[in-house]
Amino acid sequence: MNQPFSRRKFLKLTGAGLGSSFLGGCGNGFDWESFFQKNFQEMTSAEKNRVVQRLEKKYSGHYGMPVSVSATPARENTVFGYGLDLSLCVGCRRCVYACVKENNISRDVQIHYIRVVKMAESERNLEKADHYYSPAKVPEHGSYYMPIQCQQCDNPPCVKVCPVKALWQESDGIVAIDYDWCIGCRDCMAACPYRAMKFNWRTPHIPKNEINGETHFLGNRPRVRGVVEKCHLCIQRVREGRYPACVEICPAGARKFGNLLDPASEIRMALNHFRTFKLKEELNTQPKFFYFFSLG
Amino acid sequence: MESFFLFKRGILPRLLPHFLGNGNLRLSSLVVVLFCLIQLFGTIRSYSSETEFFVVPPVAFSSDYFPCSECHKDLEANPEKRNLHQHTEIVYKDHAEDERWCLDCHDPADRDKLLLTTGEKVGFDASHKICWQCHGSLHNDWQHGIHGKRIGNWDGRKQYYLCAACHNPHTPAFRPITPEPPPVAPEKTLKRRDK
Amino acid sequence: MADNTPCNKEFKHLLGCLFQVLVKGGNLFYGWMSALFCLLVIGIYYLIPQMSEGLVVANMREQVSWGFYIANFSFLVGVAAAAVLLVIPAYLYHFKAIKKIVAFGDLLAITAVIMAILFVQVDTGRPERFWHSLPVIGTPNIPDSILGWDIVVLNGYLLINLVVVMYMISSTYLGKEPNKRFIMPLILLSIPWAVMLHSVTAFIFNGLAARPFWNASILAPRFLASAFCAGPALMILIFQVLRKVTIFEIRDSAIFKLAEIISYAMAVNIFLLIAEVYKEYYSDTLEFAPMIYLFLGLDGHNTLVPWIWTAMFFNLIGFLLFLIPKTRKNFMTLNIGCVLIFIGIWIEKGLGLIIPGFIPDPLGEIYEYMPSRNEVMVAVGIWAFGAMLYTLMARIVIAVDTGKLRHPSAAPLVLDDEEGFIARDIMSRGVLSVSPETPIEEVRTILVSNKISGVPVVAADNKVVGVVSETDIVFGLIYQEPHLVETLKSIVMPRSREREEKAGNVAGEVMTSPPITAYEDTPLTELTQIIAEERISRVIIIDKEMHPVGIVSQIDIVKSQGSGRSVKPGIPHSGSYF
Repeated sequence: MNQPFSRRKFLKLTGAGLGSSFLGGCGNGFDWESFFQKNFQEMTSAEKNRVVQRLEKKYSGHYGMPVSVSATPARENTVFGYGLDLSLCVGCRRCVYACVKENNISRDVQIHYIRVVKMAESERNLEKADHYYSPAKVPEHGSYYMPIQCQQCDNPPCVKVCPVKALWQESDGIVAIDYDWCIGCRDCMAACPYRAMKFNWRTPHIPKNEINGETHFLGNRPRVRGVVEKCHLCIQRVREGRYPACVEICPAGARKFGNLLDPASEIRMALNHFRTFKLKEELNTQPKFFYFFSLG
Repeated sequence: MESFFLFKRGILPRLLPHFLGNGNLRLSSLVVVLFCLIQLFGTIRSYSSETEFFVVPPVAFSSDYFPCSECHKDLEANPEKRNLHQHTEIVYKDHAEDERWCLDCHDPADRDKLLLTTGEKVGFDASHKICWQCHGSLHNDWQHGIHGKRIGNWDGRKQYYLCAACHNPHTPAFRPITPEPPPVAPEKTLKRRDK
Repeated sequence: MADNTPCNKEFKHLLGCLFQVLVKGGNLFYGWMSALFCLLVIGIYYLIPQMSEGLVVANMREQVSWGFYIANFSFLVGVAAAAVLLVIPAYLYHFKAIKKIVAFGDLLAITAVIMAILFVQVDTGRPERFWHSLPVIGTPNIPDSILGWDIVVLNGYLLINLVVVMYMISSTYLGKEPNKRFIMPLILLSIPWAVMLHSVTAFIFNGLAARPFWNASILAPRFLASAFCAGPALMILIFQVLRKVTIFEIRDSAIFKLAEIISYAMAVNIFLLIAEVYKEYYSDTLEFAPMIYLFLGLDGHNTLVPWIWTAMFFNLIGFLLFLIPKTRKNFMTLNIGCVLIFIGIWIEKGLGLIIPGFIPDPLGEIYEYMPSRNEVMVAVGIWAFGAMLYTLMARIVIAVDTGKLRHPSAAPLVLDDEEGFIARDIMSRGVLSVSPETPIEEVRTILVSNKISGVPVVAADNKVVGVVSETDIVFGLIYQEPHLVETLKSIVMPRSREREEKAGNVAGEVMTSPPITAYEDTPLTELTQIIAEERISRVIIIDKEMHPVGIVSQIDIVKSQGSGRSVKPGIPHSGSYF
């Protein structure tokens, strides 16, 4: 029997193929230091600095441009809240693509953190929603538009189900992911009632000239295939005091953002002033993302 | 009731309309910055979202039209309701056109200014005060950042877009725009290697 | 030289023997293994693009983020848990025939758990990071994450079964008496652990409020019930193959016992499914949509509809075949039933359970998922790997059990046949018999004159068709409307025999049919058990052609206890732990 021979030959071939592809990851080759990198939550600040520096070097080399990676921690007395004015949203999807650009999100296979659905004015059932509307002009008469993204739950099911603590809630309320710790089991995708979790089905492809070089470890730094990601309220911007990209791009001013602990913040004003609702409130996920109709 | 709409903390927000009203944007913003500095060192604040207030100028007029007085200085003001032969781009529609006409808002004497019902003149960079006269509630919402667009810093220097940035004052309904393309449907994303 | 290093020598001996067992075999073995190996290679071939490209080669997408792999995973966990169905009758009820084969159930559990782990591994995006879920070096999210728990429970179950099987095998190999104090608690622990294993797996899906299709408290019981159908169905098929292709003996009674369990479990499974469908159908909330999608199709999307109705049809036919004692005890129909139930449950609890959880998705979108060729072929590869693993492990167990693989200094294996009496030793030969046409009068004369309590009824082809006992004659004399419960029982219950309702004039009309029979090599312990369980006075001993060769009555058993050859405790098989 020549089975042992063919088996050995086969193992050699497949072993090499498997090994390289198995460990290859980003395409930058395999390095043990990143393989044995700790969970971000368990790193000391010295370790964080070292990892951040290593990543900056790696990304800058890979994209041929300076890429900064910050690990700015959450501010004290800050919990972010987000408001979305359904009266004003015109469904133009500017936010979707601004988000893609800001956050270095995979173009192919396409990932969108924000999904805007169109519904008839009288409709509240998402099953009747149109995800792929494409008229010449928006808004269309008789419809309203509902952008849906990570709701930054205070009782997040994704964090609960993650088997490896790759997901957690930061003290400023942002549900963060350590992309280097995620094993890609996708339990969070099944657990999320808002379909906020996105999976990198292949190595994310981002044109080099479209890279946003200002990144955060828990935010828009380049990802590898096989890990989940989702809206993090542009952590790289909001931790520096700036508005998220979707807020700034919105031509209708339908997006409100601010510190829930600050009674004078825009989000608190909106909560005081309008009757807000939370999406799928009955599931007790306690979103910090509020919808309201400011007009009518 | 007023306190409901006004910021509860800091004196700056209460004074804001006055700064905005003087029509000199640069000066007002300078004063604002000075005030901020005074506030910063003079008061203990736990939150910083009230520090700065900034208004973006409205849609820039092209030099063909502005300043308006260039042409209008020689023309006599005509209060008649009529089709505008020169300003064909202006269609005054769906904005209580039966009740009002150009000179209700535009100062007949100084065409580079707008005219409030009180007789006060304001520049185009404070056009929101014109809107305020009828849309008080919306204006309050705008002032508190819950209507209209702001960019910049959520906890500091931010820019307010004036009403006219989104609403054409002559036809104020939001102009429909072309939407960005829909997402790729999952069936079309399929990249089967085995085909 | 070799004498100086006995350990080394022993080890070499073991390796040599193991090599023989694992590699040497007949054409059937080589053919089987090379076919499986080819499938495994194909599976790996299709796995490579997934490893280099990413899971994009699968048809899973954001809308349906789990698919064929997880479907197989949840199904296999059920198969693994079903091994407990051998442990319970063997160790809680001391059902001898099953005790002999319980090791093969454990091997199935080991194989199924390993396959389940492989399916999870190929499903994860970063399989090389599996160590993140381990304690100490990783950060397992316990107690919050059910998936985290499942990793613990799954590996624990694998460990328990591995330890039990390896301990028993090595004891037999070394010819030592196994330490019951050590191994018995482990065996007993495996019973609740199996239930826990499958419940926890169900809880992974069950606990997700985002997915109303899974978020039903009946899910864990449904998982268990369906597992207790599919697992034993597979075992019945495996056992028949094992006894056909090896010298290892597996008794019919063990197989029929499993078949009986399937019929109960299937009834529960169908009942739970109806309960679930009813609740969703009658309350008719928006949460009914996934079930509509599954059974009827939603807005023209109906990919799963033919699958689920095939499963329903298979399950129902399988259930009927198992429900009716006649078809359950006929190997032809039994095997058809096993195949139908296995496939039916595989669809129902695989694709039929996982996919509708995602359709419509939480944002109301419908993406019709069907596995890509890569997914199917990788799954085939894993199944082939499982079959290879099981084959090799079963060969080791059989070799040890039959004494082929044995420590050189261990005492020769005492085979089961020598353990004690078998039917052949104690039965009364020269059986009297009557034909179905024999008048009752004549039967009565035979019974009285021979001082026996019953006589077999033999048809023209010399096959046993029934027994006429004293009781039958008494019942024959007194016309009695059978109790409704009795009638039902005779339809449903496996061992109740139909009593003739009318007063008859010939043996064929009063006899009890089918008769309780056993083979010549049935051990005494089992005969005793049959007599006790069936509440009868005698067992008819038949050969493979159903011809009567003897009778063992209660008095024969009593007599055997007095004779010189008593029941001696042999060194147990590893197949039968004690």
